[in-house]
Amino acid sequence: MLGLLQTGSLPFASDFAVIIITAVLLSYIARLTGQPTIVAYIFTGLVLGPVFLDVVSQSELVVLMSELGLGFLLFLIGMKMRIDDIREILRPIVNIAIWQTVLQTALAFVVAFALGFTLLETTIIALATVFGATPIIVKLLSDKDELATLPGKIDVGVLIIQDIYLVILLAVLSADSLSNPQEIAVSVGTILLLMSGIGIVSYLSARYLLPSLFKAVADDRRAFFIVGIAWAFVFILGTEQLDLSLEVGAFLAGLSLAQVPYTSELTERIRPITDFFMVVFFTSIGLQLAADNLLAYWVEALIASAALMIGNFLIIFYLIDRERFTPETSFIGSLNMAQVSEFSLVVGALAVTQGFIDASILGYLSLMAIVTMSLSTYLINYNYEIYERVKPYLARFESEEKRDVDLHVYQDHAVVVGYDEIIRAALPTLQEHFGDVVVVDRNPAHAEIHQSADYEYIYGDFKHGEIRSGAGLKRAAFVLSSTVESDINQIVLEEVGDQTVVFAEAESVTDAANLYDRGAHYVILSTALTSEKLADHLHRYFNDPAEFWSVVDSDIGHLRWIRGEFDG
Amino acid sequence: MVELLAPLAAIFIGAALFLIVAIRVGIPAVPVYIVVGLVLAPFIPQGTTLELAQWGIAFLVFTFGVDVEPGRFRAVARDSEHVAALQILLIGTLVFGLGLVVGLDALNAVYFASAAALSSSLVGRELAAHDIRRNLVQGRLISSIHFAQDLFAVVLILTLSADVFTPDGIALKLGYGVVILLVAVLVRVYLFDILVSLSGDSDELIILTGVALLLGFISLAELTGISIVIGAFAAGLAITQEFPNKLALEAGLESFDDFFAAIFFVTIGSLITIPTPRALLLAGVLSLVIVVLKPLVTIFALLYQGYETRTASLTSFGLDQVSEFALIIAIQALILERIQPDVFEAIILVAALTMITSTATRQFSEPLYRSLRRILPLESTHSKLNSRSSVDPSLQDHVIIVGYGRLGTLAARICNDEDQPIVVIDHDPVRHELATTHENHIFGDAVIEETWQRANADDARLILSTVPDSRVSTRILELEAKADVILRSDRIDEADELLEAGADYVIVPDFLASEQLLEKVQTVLTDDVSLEEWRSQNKHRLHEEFEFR
Repeated sequence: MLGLLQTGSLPFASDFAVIIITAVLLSYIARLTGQPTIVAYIFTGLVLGPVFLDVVSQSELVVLMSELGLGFLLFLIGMKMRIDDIREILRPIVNIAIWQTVLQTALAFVVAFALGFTLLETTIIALATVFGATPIIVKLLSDKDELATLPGKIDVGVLIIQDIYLVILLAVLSADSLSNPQEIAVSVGTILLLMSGIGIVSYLSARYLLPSLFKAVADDRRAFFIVGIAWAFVFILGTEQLDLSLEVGAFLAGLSLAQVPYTSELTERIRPITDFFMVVFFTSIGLQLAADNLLAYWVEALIASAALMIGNFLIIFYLIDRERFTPETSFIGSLNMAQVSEFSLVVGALAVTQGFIDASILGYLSLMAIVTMSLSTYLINYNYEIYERVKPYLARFESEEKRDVDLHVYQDHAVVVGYDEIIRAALPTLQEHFGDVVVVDRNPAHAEIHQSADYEYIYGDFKHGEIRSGAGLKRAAFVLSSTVESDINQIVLEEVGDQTVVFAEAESVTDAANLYDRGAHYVILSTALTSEKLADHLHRYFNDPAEFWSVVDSDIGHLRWIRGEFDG
Repeated sequence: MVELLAPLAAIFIGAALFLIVAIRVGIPAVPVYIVVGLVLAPFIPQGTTLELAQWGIAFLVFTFGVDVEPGRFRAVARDSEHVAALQILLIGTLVFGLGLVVGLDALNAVYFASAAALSSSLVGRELAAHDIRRNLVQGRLISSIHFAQDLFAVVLILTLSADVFTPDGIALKLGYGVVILLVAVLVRVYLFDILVSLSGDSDELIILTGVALLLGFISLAELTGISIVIGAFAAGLAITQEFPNKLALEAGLESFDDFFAAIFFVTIGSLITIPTPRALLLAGVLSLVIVVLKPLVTIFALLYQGYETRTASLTSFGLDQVSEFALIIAIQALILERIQPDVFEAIILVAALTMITSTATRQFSEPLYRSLRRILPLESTHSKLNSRSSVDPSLQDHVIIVGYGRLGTLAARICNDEDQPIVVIDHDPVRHELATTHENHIFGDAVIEETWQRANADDARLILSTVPDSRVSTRILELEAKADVILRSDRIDEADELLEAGADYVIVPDFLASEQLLEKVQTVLTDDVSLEEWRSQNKHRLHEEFEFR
């Protein structure tokens, strides 16, 4: 029955253990030096590959997991494409993104050509280096709580549009025959056609299938997760059948989920394995590089890095400025984008596989990615400080006509964690007082109540950091937590600002005391309230039965009234 | 395109489709996965998929190791370990003998017996989630018996992974196992906190640190030639219980767990071909033992130790399935080429089957318990009830208080103040212990008849239940005693139903809390209070409460 038993025992984890332990150690170093983890991941590949240690081999599982890493990453990116988030500034963003792609490609092309690369190499390099590094920008801005600011939104919006371009580019590059312009045109045409076909499927399912599908499984954490993954695989299989790259499928699968309310929770569930697979992915890129490949063009890489960082900054500054935003927005928005994305490696690795370039160009791209990412981390971290220094020189860009759009940002709002009969009574009051109320709840049964209500609603578990920042927890003026999970309440108390009023719920006196010690203003302890009430009732029952029965009658009336209200 | 991508896609799409249907009827995921594997067998290539399935084992065991919290079980640990030991010994010996009778060699008989004796904590605890959350006695028994069994399974796996079954061979493996566990303890005590502080507040990094520990320990196990299960378990032990981003780590591991467990169980299902008559015979024997014999043994063992019939029955319905650890034992034996194909297939088939039947026994536990009682001479010795309870039989016009938690305690105190005679009923050993300060107290289940007879419910003045369990509430209303009835519910709609059904009053904590909350919100928003002052007032009030308790 079983043809697998020749070896006697299966090799397991040692390759992966080496990979992940190295990645974690390098990540610790990255964190201590203020660098984002992605830089550590890229280094992991270089350290473990032939360049330094040469200890990991490209086994089938390594290949599988790196493919999955890229696929899931694109799936997550697809899910992030919420047009609603950037609707207010959609037009300027599209303008900026399109022109940025054109101008930056041109710049990269000129630089690479001037450095002496061949036409084909130059083309690939130019195509590969236009993207901004999403994980770096998003991570750093979210740490600094700047994602929701205008420059942050512009950057994220531009990155989103770049992703669409990236997906098309990947699809085109992975096509089998690209030897002459005519074939390229045909391939691009076919690919666009197929993609729009899948796009229609994805749109239709987003419209008619997905909301009810996910509602049906949202109650069961495991089924919810498995169905999400399966959805990605449906599209991955589909695109495979059509000879498109699996990233395209994964991206479109994510895209179809983007407008479904359960997305944030699904993203947080899939992110951990994606991170792990991405480590494997960057390792597998490192495995393709021999030592002489990496450093073959190091001078060129340094020159190009400098040229692109400055050039990209100027291009984006010009483009944002052209959309008549203030110089501050233009400056910060373009400073954040001055780096080459990890996708340059994705595109480069694909081009190596397809035989367009040799591995030394991949080495050149890796160096550029590492150099520009590391430097731009400091630029992003000190963006406003740098702006203050150069502000006088930007005066000539000031103009009466330039104004920033007023973005809707949660500020001094109320955050409500969990939704139940206790909370419901307080919502109208909060709404009246704070204007913005964000309810975070993970009970799918409430989804319909929430969607028809005036307050903002996020489906998700408050234990995920991204969900907390999505609700603007750090900027909230009032937090009402109806969860009795004391871990979550403690995180809330740690993260909120000094002035924030926090109400939390507890199950036991010990928990309640603990929450007060950590700064809660009021702890709802429903057993304590119940005790008071029960004591009153019992005293009456024994001493003044008539009074007891009349109080009980009025209580029951009230309870039935609440129930009618809740159902209605 | 990687070859494995299509099978992987098939696994997840199949699992999702089946799960969507299964969760409607409440079937847990594990048997669903196995069935998906059976269906998808032709599309799943063996070899590399199996390699990937090992990751499933690793994360399953790792998560178990992270959860190990022996302190929680102390209250019933002693009893349940007896039951676990008794059950494993009785069933194990019996099935081992049966195995020899049907012609298995000793080793295969051990595999066979392990499948019969061990039950699945993954399935059992999911099914009994309600009872465990409510901290009911059967819930605690189920989770602590599973816990004891899982620990036993880990030792068994370690023993069975020995290359040669000589005392020396086994001792060597055990020695390595102990060394790895020691390393884990050292990491836990000295290194782990450093790793946590190195990863700062980055969720991503703490999750990867966890995975790195897991893979590191597994490599260590591989190097010393012992089962990866031990490495995974040790890695779980290396992670401490309390640290700032524990929540993030747990959430992250859950994703890995869900991902690889699906691959593992589906792959296991896919290893089954069309079973031979002998495999079917073995499967038949095994299912009979697990579905019929094992519950009976559990019930009698618990009765013998003095638990009530109902508790014993409900507990046994949480244990009547094959353990995922038995599957791990089987698959490892398969990889070592030690298990006979027929035995392997029987174990996998019966695992899927019993995990599904266990869902059914769980869902119909009450009617099953009642018919069991009719058919079998299930007499509890009531030794727990007798030895721990004390009631004055001549009580009249007394108050019966069900549940000795916060509310129950308060009610008892008020009754004492008012000179009302009371009987306190609780089924939780710890709480009942506290209730023994009262003259009349019963250790027993409020759902069964004996308890109420003993409490002399017919002559009571008031029955006050502080337990938000609908079965208890319904039972009290069915007593049709002349007493006034006050119940407790956690849901407003249920409270309404109970009032319709004849309760005189129903306490709903949430309802009371919502009134209070609104008042507090209005105070803090509209009144001119100093926040800090108001906060310390609230805090102070809590401490007064605490004193009062």
